[in-house]
Amino acid sequence: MTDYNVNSYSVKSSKSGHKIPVINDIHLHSTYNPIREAESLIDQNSTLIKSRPNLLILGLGFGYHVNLANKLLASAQYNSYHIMVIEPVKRTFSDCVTLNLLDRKNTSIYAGEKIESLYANNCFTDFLLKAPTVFAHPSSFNLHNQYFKDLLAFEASDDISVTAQNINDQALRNYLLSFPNHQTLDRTMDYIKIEKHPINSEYDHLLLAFKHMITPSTKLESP
Amino acid sequence: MKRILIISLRRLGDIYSVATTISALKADNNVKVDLLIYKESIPAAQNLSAVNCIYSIDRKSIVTKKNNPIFQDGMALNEFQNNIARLQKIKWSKVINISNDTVGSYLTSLLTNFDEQSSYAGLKFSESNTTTPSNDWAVVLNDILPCFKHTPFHFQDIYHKMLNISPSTSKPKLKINPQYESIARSNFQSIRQNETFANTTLKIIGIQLKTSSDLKDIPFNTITELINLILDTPDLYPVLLISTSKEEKNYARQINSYFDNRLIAIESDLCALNSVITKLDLLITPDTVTKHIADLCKTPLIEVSLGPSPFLKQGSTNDQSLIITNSLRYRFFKDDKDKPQHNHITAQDIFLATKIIFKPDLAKSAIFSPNVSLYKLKSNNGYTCYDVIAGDNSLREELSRQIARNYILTKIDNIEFSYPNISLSCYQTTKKWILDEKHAIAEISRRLLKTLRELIQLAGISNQRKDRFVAALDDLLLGCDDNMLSSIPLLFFRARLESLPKSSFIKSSSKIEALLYVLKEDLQELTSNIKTFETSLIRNHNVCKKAPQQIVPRDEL
Repeated sequence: MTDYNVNSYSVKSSKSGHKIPVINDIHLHSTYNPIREAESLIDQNSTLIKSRPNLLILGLGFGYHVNLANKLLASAQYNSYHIMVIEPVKRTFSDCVTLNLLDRKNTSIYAGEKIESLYANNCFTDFLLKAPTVFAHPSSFNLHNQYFKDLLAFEASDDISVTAQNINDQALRNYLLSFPNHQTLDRTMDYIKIEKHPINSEYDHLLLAFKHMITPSTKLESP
Repeated sequence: MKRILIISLRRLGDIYSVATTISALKADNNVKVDLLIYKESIPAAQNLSAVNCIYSIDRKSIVTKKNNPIFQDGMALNEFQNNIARLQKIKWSKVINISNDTVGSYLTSLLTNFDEQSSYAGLKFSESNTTTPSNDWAVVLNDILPCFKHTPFHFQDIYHKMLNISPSTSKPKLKINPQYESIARSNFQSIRQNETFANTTLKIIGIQLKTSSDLKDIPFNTITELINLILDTPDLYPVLLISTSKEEKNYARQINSYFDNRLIAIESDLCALNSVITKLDLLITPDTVTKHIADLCKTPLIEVSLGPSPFLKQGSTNDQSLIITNSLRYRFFKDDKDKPQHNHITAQDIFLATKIIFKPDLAKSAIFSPNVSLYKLKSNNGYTCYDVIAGDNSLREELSRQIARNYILTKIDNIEFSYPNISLSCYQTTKKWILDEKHAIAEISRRLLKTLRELIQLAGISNQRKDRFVAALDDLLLGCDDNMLSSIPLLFFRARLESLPKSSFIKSSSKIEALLYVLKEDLQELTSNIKTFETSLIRNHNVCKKAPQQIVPRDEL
């Protein structure tokens, strides 16, 4: 097994005949009736789930709760809605797909991704910018507690070399790395503003415009 | 084909108010005008028919990505660069920066410093990282208008002056969406049919409920009382104007509940708002984007001017419109934190202004609440000026505005502007104002001479001497905030000082000395302006006992 924190993995059937994944001897859904369990879970959290058109679900399991959340949001009369699911174990997702258990309408799933990779993914970060409701699937969250805690507490590196990796423009990337003593973007911009003379590169002006736009005192004006 | 880029990283209202300038630029058929704005302003910019292309910066996304620790800094910078890269691919004939902010100024230098074919207007940064105004009008726009409280010029006049263009004879047009237009026409027809009583012509009055700032909003009780007054008048009918935001809908609901839900609230986004406004007979609005749209739609309006914005900087440009305000001496500004902020404008005052709109002659006999003034646009030699037509007149503040305008026009363009005619009853107050202004100039001149003396004595360059010079310079610059006429030459001086390239103290000191002498000349010119005004005042007082009464304060009547 190469999946995150997985020592054992199997698929069993509940008494109601529904498939359930069992990871490290933990059943991710009810062994009696996963559908009824999911209904109860979604029902208890329906106000929260419906409160915004974007929903981030932590833990896929075999997706019974995801399908019901999907139905709930579809009925909430948003012009459009989107569900994103984060699942640490890739195999759970692939089995879920093979067994045809998932309604993937308006749903994106990231399975088996490293946390750093997730935050480097524009689709994921753009989704976070929409301030989604966060909803955890209890069994998955408890099983992968550390993964989800790390996900929620993630802080990106401010190292200038990491910053440069996120820049598409090769020339700007090289320009940022040409200031070896300024380990972060903030320090580099401070150096250009205060000490660099003359400011004779287009990138100087670009970076200073950027610096002034992102200054915390910059007030966003409402229409 | 010349490509011109206007950078306007400001509020929605500013996007509409630049429409006149775009029309003036487009008088040259060989010109295409593009706009750079923040993403939240796109709906406003899309309304302007003369704009060739809209470029935007997603500030909200970029700021969030940079300031939230879960996002890597590079994501924010990458997005910003992507937003700007499209602009860098175009050969701009001219970049016009009307943003009055640092971001706009760096973007202007980014787009013009590295292309010899490209010129600019407004502010940009030089290689030495100092601000460089394109001309003195750019200094007026960026350094004087934000600081001098009695705004001497309308924004639009400054844009035209800065660009050295004449205002367009053809008025700018807003795009009309046929679907919204048809819906608005049919809804307004229904209102007119249902609410008209026999033999009356119904006048529909739109009331804009909210702005982006509570300080600018017309208070709730004033609105409900005003609506009652309108409803009690058979030929007038009020409708509430709201945006699509939940907050405004709830506010409209709250107001409507006072009237048994009888009122009509018209909800529209910016795309539909011009179709609504053109159907109104009158708009009553605080200082917000709706005002600018009404001006472009030529719908008369009453602007209820509240809040800390400099008064009349962007007043209505429709000569049928009226602006109602607390007397200028009671207005407060952003830095007046300790000044009591009383609102004297009542619903009766706004209603009286409404009646004056439909019967202008009423202005002569209208009695407003104490400390409330009613202003009307009066074009003066092609400049947008405003006169008090009823209510309280703040003589000192109006003198300050008018003489400031004269001084700036004489200084920059060498244009002589007529001085205000002062009634006999205002003679003493005017004399006192002149005396105060002269005292202020004398005080600034004293500080100027002290600064010069300290500078000349710097030959030894001891640190102690340097400190004394810096203290004298600081003391001199404090006068920028005095809000007296002498602040204007000082603000010019400060702008020039900030434009000096960074260099050694020795090199800078000779340049500062030269600037101090320029300031001295400017103060002399201002004194000369005030003396000319004083001479004309005394001549009028002595010769003509019945001088035309243009400025008459209520307390002297």
